[in-house]
Amino acid sequence: MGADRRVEDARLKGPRVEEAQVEEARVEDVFTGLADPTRRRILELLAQKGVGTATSLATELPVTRQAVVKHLAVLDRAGLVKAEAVGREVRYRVEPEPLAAAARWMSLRAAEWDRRLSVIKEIAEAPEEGPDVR
Amino acid sequence: MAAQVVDTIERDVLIAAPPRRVWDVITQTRHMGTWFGMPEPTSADFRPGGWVVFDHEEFGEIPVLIEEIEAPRRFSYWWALVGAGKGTRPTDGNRTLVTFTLTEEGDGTRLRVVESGITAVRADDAELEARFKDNTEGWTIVTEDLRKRVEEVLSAAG
Repeated sequence: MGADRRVEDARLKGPRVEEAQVEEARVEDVFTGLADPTRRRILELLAQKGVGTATSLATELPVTRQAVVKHLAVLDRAGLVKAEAVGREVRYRVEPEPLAAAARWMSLRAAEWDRRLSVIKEIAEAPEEGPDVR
Repeated sequence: MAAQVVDTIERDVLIAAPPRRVWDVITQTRHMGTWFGMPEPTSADFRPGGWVVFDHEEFGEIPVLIEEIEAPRRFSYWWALVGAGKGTRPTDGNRTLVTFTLTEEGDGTRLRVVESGITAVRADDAELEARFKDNTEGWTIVTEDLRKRVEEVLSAAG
């Protein structure tokens, strides 16, 4: 997938390409992490309570503890939660940084649209030339 | 924390040229490569459902699927966000929709671009679906709902 992720940068010409590359790999995981209502609910619960375990979360959700464990694994992989072993328990907290990274990536993509629009403006405002310009 | 994840990018610019001229710049192949930041398309079928194909020297073919084309007001297309290049076509799980609208403003044109559906992309979805077959709700998300919820999570996280 690494090569594929870099392909997006074919559209990201300019000095910010490298920064965008770094962000993009993470951003995909963040979007995957968020792409499920149960996982979003888990994030909300953890944000509200500060900390939670698979067992405590399962009591507030219409899914099994086993399903919560799987969702937490996806969130963990996306870096959206931080796991900490306390005795036999694993406690989870929300990790807000990846969400901020996703927001930054969106800003870069928006900046790239600004660049494209300014190119379109420049061409459209230039004196028309060439036989196929109507 | 002030950050939020927003699903849609919206940008606009005022251009001192009539809509017809702006339309030509957006939809003529000789200009498309320039503003895309790629070589001129190798093929272009300008109708809804038609393909415009760019051939990037490093990443290979990048096909773009036209959704709407209503001269000189509205042009929209799908492209792949995840796994783009090497001929990867935009599909439900990997694509975003880009929509240009042109509006007359004074002697010029207001050109607006909206790219939407970014949070609907799915990374490694085959693997994830295999692991979470019990998830009957699917992976498509309602983006507005997501935006709201992320903001809630972030504001709750303080």
